[in-house]
Amino acid sequence: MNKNYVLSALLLSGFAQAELVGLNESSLEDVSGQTGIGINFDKIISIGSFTYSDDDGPSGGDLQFKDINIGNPADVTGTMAHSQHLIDVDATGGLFIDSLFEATRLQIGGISVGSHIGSRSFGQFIFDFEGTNLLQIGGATPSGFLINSTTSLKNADFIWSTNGASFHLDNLTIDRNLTDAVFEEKSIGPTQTALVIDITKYSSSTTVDGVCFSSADCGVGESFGSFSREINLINSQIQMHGGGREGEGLTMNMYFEFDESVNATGDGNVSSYTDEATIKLAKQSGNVTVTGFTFDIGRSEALIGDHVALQFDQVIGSYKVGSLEIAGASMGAFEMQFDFSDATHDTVLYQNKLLLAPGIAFAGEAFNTGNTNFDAFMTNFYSKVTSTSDGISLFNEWNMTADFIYTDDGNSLRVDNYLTYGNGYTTLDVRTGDLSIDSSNSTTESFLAVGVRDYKVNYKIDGLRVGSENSQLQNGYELLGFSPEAEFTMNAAIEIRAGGAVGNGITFDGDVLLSEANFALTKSNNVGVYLDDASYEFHFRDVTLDVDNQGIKLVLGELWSEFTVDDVRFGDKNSGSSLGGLIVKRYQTGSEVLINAGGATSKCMDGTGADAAACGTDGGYWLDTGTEGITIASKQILQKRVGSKENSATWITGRTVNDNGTPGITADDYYEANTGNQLKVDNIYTSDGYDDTNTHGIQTTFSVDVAKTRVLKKTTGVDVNGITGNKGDELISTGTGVADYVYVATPDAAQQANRPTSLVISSNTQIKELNAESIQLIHANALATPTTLIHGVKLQNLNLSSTLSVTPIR
Amino acid sequence: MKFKYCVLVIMLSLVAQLHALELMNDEGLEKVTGQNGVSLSGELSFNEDGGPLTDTIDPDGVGSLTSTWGACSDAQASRCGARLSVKLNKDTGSQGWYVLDEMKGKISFEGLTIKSREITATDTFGGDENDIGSGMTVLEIGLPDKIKYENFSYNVATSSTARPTDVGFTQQVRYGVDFNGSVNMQGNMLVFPTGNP
Repeated sequence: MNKNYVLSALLLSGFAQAELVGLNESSLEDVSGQTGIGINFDKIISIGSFTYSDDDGPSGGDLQFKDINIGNPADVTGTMAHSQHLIDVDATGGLFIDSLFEATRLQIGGISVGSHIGSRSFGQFIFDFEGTNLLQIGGATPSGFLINSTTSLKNADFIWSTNGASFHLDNLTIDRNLTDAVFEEKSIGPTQTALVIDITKYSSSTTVDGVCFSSADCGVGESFGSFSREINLINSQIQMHGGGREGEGLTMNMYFEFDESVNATGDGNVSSYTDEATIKLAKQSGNVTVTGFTFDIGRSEALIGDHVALQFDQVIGSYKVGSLEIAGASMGAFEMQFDFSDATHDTVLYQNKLLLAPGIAFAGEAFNTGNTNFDAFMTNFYSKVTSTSDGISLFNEWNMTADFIYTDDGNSLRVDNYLTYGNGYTTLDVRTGDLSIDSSNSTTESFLAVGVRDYKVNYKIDGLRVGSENSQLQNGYELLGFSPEAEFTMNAAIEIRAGGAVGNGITFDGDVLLSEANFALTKSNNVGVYLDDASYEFHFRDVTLDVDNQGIKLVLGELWSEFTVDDVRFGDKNSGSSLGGLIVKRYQTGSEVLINAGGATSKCMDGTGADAAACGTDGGYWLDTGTEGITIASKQILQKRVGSKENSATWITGRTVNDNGTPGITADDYYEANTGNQLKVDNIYTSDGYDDTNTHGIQTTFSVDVAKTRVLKKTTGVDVNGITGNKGDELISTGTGVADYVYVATPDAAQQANRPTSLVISSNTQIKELNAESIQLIHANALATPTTLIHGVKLQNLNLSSTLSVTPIR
Repeated sequence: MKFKYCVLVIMLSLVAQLHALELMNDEGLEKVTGQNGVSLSGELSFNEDGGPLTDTIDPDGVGSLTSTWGACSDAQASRCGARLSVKLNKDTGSQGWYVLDEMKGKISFEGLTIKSREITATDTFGGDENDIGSGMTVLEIGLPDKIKYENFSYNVATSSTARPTDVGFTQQVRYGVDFNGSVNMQGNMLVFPTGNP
């Protein structure tokens, strides 16, 4: 109650500084024939605390905003912020409020929840702005309020601060137009009414000049870069009613739909990021339906305690980027058709929810991930903060199915029936440079600290469909380097800084562990080849990301990792026959990755010729890869062994199994340490071919396209889809279904235009020199004295190119 | 022609402990109906016009420049192919290196298939079925119907040093191989684990 008195008194004191002014002439022009009042509002508002509570006894709690100040950004508690408001009734009888805000700051000293109140918070927040707002409220037909509004803010800044450091969205401009929105109380069920907002049209335009870790303006080279977004929605709706998932709270149902008409010209609905060059997600479209979104104050989550709980029953929809462009070149179109719904896997229910608690839940903890070497990195990361440090602790859980569709020059590739579920914890806070995990970093450069704890991730796909959603399922993901099925637990400590290798950009340092992992290398027919009981410990320092005219450039600083696999299994992923174990260690410095739009160059396959005609004359066929596609160029510089950092590969077999006291039950069996025999390719490194100079490394250019290609029948007779043909006949598509094709001995030009669509992977690898110091046989009884099988391997001057078209087995 | 078989023997012997050859039959084809897996067609080319080593160097430091590596079209360059050197003996000052030298050329193929497959009791593999066993999952690599070689060549040599640019380099080419033409292939290669992991 005291809080309410304080709030009321402060508000009154603020209003007491307002004064009535005469009508602005230009505004009056818009309200001809009307009269009204104008208000000049000079204010300093200070609120000790403001508390929202949904505590109803058995559930709920308090959400507290404290030390709220509104005033002039120059001195929020000492200088008044000025605004003008014209209030009138327009010609159609509606209420008309035209406002002008001069420089104003909204500052919140802390936001906290439940038992955390008084000890730690989400941090401090500042929002500076100036601008105008026009709000019109009239009567809707047949009922409700009809609302139109136009908001335009400029010179806006958003600052989030924790632990003496700040994250800054610098110099925002925000324009919003809400057109013909109807607000009314409606029945949305047999026993439920809600505030229903029907939105005929909504447009939004936002730009951010800089993003940096400073409360001051972002300087050149100190920013991530700039961002912009233009979004237009139509025919959307929001339903809101009281009551959360537990007792009191808030429940919402929502439907949003992109206005695709704006995509007809220009970039349409677009989001972009600009460094030296721009990444653009243009011509966005789609819709999303959110059902049963709830907002509650929750209690006593096992690790993060009292929290804000956001949860939904289902989010279903589609999202398409009509053109993804990097530095002006188009990569193609991407679409995602998704469904977030609760589901049970292995008797565990996975719900779609996000819990947020203030502070850093794992501050000062000694970690136990099962990998003692990695524990030291996590413990060090969380030793930099305390139990009263500000920040955000999250627990999130999800279950989602989706199809992903990539379209390259009109040809589509579908990642079919992706399923992912899992849960885990994350912490976010901003820290000063002296708290970095890397002592070589600047102590004056603040950063975003991202911690990940026991993040359990599961996913799998059915396969790829090339050409259409009805095409035959196929593999091919193996060649793209991703696993079709995986499960792992992730722990990570990552630092993110502003500024790249050149000017603006992003810099990363981090330590990541994927443990209790199982990765499928390939699978078909519900069996496959799996890497079981795997662990991937990965460290990176001074990795920079920049976007320039060449594309997205990652300069990889220093990388070292160890990937261990207990069993390479054939068959079932957990119990299939094992080929043995693997240990792969990597150590690189100065490596680079460049990602750009546009795939491989069109070329003559199985013949010679500079164009389609010449190629055909030579007996080949022309592979037209178009202008779109994806190209990834990489340079991996493998370094000689330094301490425990090395490049090596080890295969282990013949280990002794410990049945762990439960003979006959294999689930808890493990291999005895230091048993088995090893074949090790030791101390692999690159050089430039003459001495130890090492600047060239392994340079690879890898392009992915979706294009029409020639497919020949392998044997005479009926194929797997019941289509008959002779060995050597060419497959010609007649439709989009699995069996919509014929075999033709000598296709004419029209038939050649209907060649099947395939995934086309082109690569070139160049190595000046790749060395292995030795290949060793290591017996369990003589681990320290390996037998050298090969005393040196040296590969020089390799220039290997390949073009592979990937199609289903028919 | 015998060199083609040499290549096949080398390729297959690399995984000799892990595979058995299987002839294609209709029964086998029926089992892949509606399954995924992948069929690959395409080409590989090695050093068609040389590799990344193109420098002109002064090997002994006394001022005489040598163009050892270069483009295949560069008449001044003495070599343009890839080179793989392997040292089998411990370095006591007298042992040399076994070398696959001047590897270059192009290979194209159609219909190389890869998929996982569970073996059933009715599968037969020319007497090797007992090594696999019913219920075992194998990685089935379906050999391409035809492999076409264009100017695919290499030398087998012994050399005093790993690098041809090292001081004191001498080399004896034991024989050279040059492929042009096609190899017809049929059957599958099955890869599966055996023994104690």
